Amino acid sequence: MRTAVIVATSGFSSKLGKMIDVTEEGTLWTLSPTSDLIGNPVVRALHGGAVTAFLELACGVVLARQLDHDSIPRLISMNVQFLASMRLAPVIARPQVRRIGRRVAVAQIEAWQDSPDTVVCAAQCEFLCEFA
Amino acid sequence: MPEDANATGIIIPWSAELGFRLLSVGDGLCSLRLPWRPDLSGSNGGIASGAIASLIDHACGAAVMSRLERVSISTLNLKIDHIRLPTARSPVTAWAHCYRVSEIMTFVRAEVWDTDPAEVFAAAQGVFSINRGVAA
Repeated sequence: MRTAVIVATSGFSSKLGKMIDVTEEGTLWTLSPTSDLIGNPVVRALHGGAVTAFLELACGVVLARQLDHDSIPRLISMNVQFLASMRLAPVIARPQVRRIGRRVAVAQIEAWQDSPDTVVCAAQCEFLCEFA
Repeated sequence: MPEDANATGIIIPWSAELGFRLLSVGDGLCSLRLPWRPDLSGSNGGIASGAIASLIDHACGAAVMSRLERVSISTLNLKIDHIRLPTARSPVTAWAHCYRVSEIMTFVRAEVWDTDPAEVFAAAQGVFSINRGVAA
């Protein structure tokens, strides 16, 4: 599958990719975290940085697919909002490409754990999409 | 200086998994280093932006905690600019400064460099909320 190939293009994304399942069309991404992703051992909450990396990867891969690139476009900037603490349980995310310009593309993503109505984390990412 | 990235003795799994090294922490400042490893590499051969995001979040949190006692904190938001790609196979160092603490929120800035501290390749700004106990 295309998504799996793109995820495997770097060491870090394939490390995270081992915990990720993606629906065929790439619309829903599920992170099934191992205890390695814990950032607060007292309350066993996921590390915000680990979840940020997951959201960034999902946005980058979905954009790469739309641009027909084999690798993830370079990230320029990312803004992440944390709306609730995340348990050691699957995190489901829906990435959306909002705009593809000549040089810059913008993607947004929302993630939840229990219900899509209760977003726990959201982000906007800007990528450089021109061919280097 | 401890090899592991926390001064409290509590092991943070994600920090240990990525291999963060605490260089210094105190007075609202924290410096963390992340040595390069093949499994942290991005497509250009430098440390991946996702690992950089984790390093920044962690350094910011540690900078905040160094100014607070007996509270827990949560990241409210974090904005990271990737100014340029990090040098291939180079370790990276994050420097975070918690420059303002109020009753309910703290504000942090961070920068990350690879070979020269004057040439940062990522910059970040974040807001953390302070979770007071129910009795407070």
